[in-house]
Amino acid sequence: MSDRPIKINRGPKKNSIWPVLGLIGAAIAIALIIAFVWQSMAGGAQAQSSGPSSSPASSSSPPPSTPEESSAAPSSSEPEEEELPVFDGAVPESERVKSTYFDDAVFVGDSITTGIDLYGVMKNTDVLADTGVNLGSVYTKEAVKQEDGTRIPIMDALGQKQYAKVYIMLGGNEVRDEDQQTFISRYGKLIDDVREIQPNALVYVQSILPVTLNNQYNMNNDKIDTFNAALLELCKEKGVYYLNVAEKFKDENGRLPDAASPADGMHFGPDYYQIWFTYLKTHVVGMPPAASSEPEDLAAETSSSFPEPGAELETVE
Amino acid sequence: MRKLISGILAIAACAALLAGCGGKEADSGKQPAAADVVKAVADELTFKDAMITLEDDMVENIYNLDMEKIADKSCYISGSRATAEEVSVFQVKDSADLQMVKDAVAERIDDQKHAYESYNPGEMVKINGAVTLTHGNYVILVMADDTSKVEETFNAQF
Repeated sequence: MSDRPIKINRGPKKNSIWPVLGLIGAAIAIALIIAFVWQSMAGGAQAQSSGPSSSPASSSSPPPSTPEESSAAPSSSEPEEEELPVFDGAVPESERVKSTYFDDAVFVGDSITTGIDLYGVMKNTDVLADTGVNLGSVYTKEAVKQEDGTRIPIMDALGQKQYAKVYIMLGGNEVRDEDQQTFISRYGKLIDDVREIQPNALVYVQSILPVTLNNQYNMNNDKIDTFNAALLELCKEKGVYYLNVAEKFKDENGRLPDAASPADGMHFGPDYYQIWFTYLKTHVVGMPPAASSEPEDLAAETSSSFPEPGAELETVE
Repeated sequence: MRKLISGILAIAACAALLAGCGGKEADSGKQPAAADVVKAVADELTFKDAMITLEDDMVENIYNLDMEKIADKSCYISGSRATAEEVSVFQVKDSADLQMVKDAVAERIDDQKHAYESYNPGEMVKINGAVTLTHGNYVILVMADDTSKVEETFNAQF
């Protein structure tokens, strides 16, 4: 634009409008020419640099991606496609998030997970769970009550709404009766199906929790540990996140303390739900490592990065 | 003398009549706190699990109730959900809403059957033997092993 100030005719001076209009017209013409030239040059430059996602800000033209990494956050806000970390082990301790982190989360599970609702541990989150559910009946058991009083399977209920995070805790009802191969095979299918139903969500798979020595279900902690180790490998293979919640529930003998579950050796009360959620709040993908965190048993260092569905999470530092 | 005896008898008859009209539910007009009723009944029971009192705002997670119509409530349940043990008391503001509570209690019993019948059948004895009683504007649900004293204890609170 011209440096000269544009005179605005406020006074009674007659016939001075034409020079002013002339100036404005000239300025517009110059601006149009400059804009045209600018557009032509920019277009050429963009055509040249349409390669890797070198400019994260220009999300209007998403970079080519594999199917796994192509799903952006539902919000489709500008700075997307954050690269989330991949861990060699379980999700390590991170800086703590607030409860609002679970606003757009859902918890899928069995009787253990039903307690989240009952005890009001995290009132802002959704819980899709039912007693006795396993990796098969999660598809079939009429579990989740609807407004009209009918019940639908958990996996059907999961498709009713899109979430940013899915927390799964299943397998506790398999440990006693299933072999490891069947367990992993079924869990693998479940993870695939969850990702299909919730393509934009970050998927957290939580470990099976320990039981007391004399639990009434004849469950064995050694077998639980073996299943959990296999589950961790499965999570790495599937590119989802494994949370070693079990480590917070074990006493010095690697079992759930008797006092935690006096009735059946497996289910526990509100105190342990608080422990559980404290763990979840401090083991969050996309948050910086905890400032004073000690290296954890299964939590290995971050090795590289891969884009993960649910990229609306906090920026990975 | 005869008149005196007649008078006394008449007064006694009237008193008996009034007591009969009132029935069992209007004997004292006491309005005990729901938590006190729960405690009195629970003290007579034996539980397998460590029990907890459910936080007030969590009650609607397990009972399908319009809480605006509830004057008082207290739910004492299995602390770990390992058992179906429960003592819950509700007091409605208006007796017209008693049916709402009874329906919610029936639904709760159904929910517990759903939860335990295949998973922990041992608990079905308590669920199938659930005791539901009403006294004035109060409703109580008890699921426990030996509920033989529940009715007596419950009615004694009023």
